[in-house]
Amino acid sequence: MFARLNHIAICTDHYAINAKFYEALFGLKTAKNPRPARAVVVSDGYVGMNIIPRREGRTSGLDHFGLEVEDLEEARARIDKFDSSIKLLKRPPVRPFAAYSAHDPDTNIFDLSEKKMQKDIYSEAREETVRKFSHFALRTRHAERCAEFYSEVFELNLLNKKAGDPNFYLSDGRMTLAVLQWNMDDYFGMDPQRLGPDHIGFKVESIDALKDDLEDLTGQNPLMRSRPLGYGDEGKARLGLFQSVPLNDYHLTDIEGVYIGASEE
Amino acid sequence: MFAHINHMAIISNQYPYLQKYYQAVFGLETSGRNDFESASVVSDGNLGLNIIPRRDGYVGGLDHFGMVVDSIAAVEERMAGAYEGSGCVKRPAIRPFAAYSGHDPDGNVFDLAEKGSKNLRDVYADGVESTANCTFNRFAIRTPNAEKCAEFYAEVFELQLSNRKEGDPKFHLTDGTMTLSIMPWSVAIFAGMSIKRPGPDHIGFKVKDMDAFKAEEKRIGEKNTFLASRRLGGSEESEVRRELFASNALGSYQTADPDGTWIDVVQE
Repeated sequence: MFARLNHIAICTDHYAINAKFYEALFGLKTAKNPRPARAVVVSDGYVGMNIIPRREGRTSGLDHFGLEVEDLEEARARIDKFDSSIKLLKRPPVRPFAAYSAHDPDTNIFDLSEKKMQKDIYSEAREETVRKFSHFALRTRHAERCAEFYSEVFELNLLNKKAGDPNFYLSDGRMTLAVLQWNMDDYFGMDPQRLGPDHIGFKVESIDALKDDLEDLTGQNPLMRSRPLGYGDEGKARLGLFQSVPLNDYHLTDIEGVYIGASEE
Repeated sequence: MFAHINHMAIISNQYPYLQKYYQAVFGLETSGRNDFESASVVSDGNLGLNIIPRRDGYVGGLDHFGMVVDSIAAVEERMAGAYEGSGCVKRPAIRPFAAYSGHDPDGNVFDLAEKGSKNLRDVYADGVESTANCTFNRFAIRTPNAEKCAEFYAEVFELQLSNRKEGDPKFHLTDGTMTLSIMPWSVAIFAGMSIKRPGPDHIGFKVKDMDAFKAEEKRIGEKNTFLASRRLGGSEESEVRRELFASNALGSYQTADPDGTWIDVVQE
């Protein structure tokens, strides 16, 4: 494949404990040479997730994803051909993943990198964990146009979907990028959610085992609790929208409320 | 004016702390009838700030603003057809402010209520007497199509364009009291730091005495570190962030609440 979706970033008010949650529940591994003041980076052996302390002026939550491409100059040329108004920005060299940041036609932000530019967890040879990232979902106003962008520029393969599903699913062969259609009408029974990243997904060996582990984890360490979903009319409306994405069999959150969908291998 | 900006919302993982911060540092008041299970609401007498507990699936931070208008039907009529991509949806009745939520052509979300409607409760119905040294004066958004969005707020809500210097890419619209600042967004703005997504950027306060405000902010933060403002600057990247904020501020002093939401402070 020309591109691999192998980077995810969350900004968080509690970055250390949130990283422990992903380590404990999903078995993700940390970098061999951590830089604890900047962020915690955890990996399933394919995707690295940077859990970043929320800095001033920023929001907390699922923030962006990253693509590793075979040829950065080629990617730049294709982006320019698709829409010359989209600009790339070179990043400060301290980043372990990103060489550039860019955005799709709806201003959803992603990082771009080449294999040879990567550091830390992104350059280490790693065994894959049992529980693995499966997808990154974003909710955007022009889903079809954005899906075309990721397909044409990064050669992600459009996957089949059911008739009437307004969303688009693109694969790098391992990870899926779900481009979900954002509509104001979907938020009738709840607060409108902002455009952008929506949830992450995991493939697990067993949903029942994951549920058991979550129960045990919260019992061992009450700081590592997932948020209750579906409480009250508004909670039901939020959960209903999350459940309308046909990629997940089980729905949970991390300790700060970031949506996580899980499905069995 | 046809529309009056009288609502802002912040989503927070620590919403009770944040309420105390705005009460202590900015002298904002609650109505005494606040449904604390849903959110904290504080007011300067003109504008209410809802500090909402972060719910599943939402991002934390400055989230949206709201307007009370003469006629929601007129807003819907003005939006229909004229502004592709904008829209409105009716809201659950529980909200103390919002009857509808809408979005501008770039998808920036705002709440809407009609003057005198039954939806207005809590500080939005009671009013809170303003005795504060500090009052809200600005809500700032960073968005890809700033000019188009500024035109939208001017045409649909009759906000008045003001205070724009020649060559300035930012647009400032006023309802007579509050300013809505629409600032352009592009990745190039974020050189030297992480990219910030389009959307709400910062809020602004007007203070009667800047030196007294700074002294009080310092005193409170030292007395109770849970109520301390976030420091801006320090590392190389945070200096870049601080400079970006300062370059887009209208006030002479910039700070951040304990969650990191940017606050621009201007001397009256």
